Amino acid sequence: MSGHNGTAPRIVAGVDGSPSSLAALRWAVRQAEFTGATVDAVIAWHYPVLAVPMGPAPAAMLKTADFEKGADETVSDAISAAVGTSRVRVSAQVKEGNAAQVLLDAAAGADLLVVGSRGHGGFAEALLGSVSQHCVHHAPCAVVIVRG
Amino acid sequence: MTRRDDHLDATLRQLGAAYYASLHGRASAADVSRAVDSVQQKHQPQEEKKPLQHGTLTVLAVNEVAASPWTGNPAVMPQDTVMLQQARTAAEDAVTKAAHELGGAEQPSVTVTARNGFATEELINASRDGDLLVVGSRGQLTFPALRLGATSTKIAHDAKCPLVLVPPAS
Repeated sequence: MSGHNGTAPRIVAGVDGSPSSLAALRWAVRQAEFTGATVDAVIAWHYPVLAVPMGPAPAAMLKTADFEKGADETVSDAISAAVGTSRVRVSAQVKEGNAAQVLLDAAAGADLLVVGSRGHGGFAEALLGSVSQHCVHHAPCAVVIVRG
Repeated sequence: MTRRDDHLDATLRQLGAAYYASLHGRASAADVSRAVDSVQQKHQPQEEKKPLQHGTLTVLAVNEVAASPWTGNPAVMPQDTVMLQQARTAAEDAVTKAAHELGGAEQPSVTVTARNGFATEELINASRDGDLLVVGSRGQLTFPALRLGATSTKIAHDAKCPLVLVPPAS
């Protein structure tokens, strides 16, 4: 794994608060220790789709801050759990949007994209989550799928 | 949780790379090269002079054999002996080329193993004992529109250890 233009390599890890994503972040931190990379822990949040009798709920009805703050707390908790005593530099990125697209955007120019094999959704027997699957198909860099 | 979970904190010891060779196609040497690169761990930060614990890399070359029409199990035919040898030689060449491209004074420990069988099965089996499995995301058979080869898709679902999918060099 090599950094672009001689800079430190950059590893992007997808976080959604699931055990699988925590395993992915831990793996990313471990790999960063080996390679001197920095880690971007990326979490995506979006407005829930709510139907009210008048049609879709206007965004103003929802408190934006709550979703963003929730995501922010999730990623902070995951980082403190994953980093431990390691000296790896991990930065949190909280973005609004579709999880797969947010991860792919974050992975542009990165050296490695690390995702958990499955997130919150899906059937129990689904072994690869939809976000991971999308990333595997479209990522510009190598993708690591971590079981957790 | 599981044995694998403990491994996340352990040093990577056993890495596997797929070098899939058959009549139909070959994974690119770049896949092997990336795998060897990650074993070398060249980018250890200077300020942290922790002794490097190298992993060992096993490059698995699978000669894809026909399925028996009766049992569905791999059926090894007489010509597979020659093809297995070809797969091994091709993988060894790829390792030599990858090591040369990467340079580096210290060569990692690489073993080439060649087997007759089904690529997906052999690789998933290999992932049971490995700490990391590295495969190319596309074989040569895929249509340009397909972003992930059939073998890699199956492995992505069923690998027992963390899996690295390396896209083709653009």
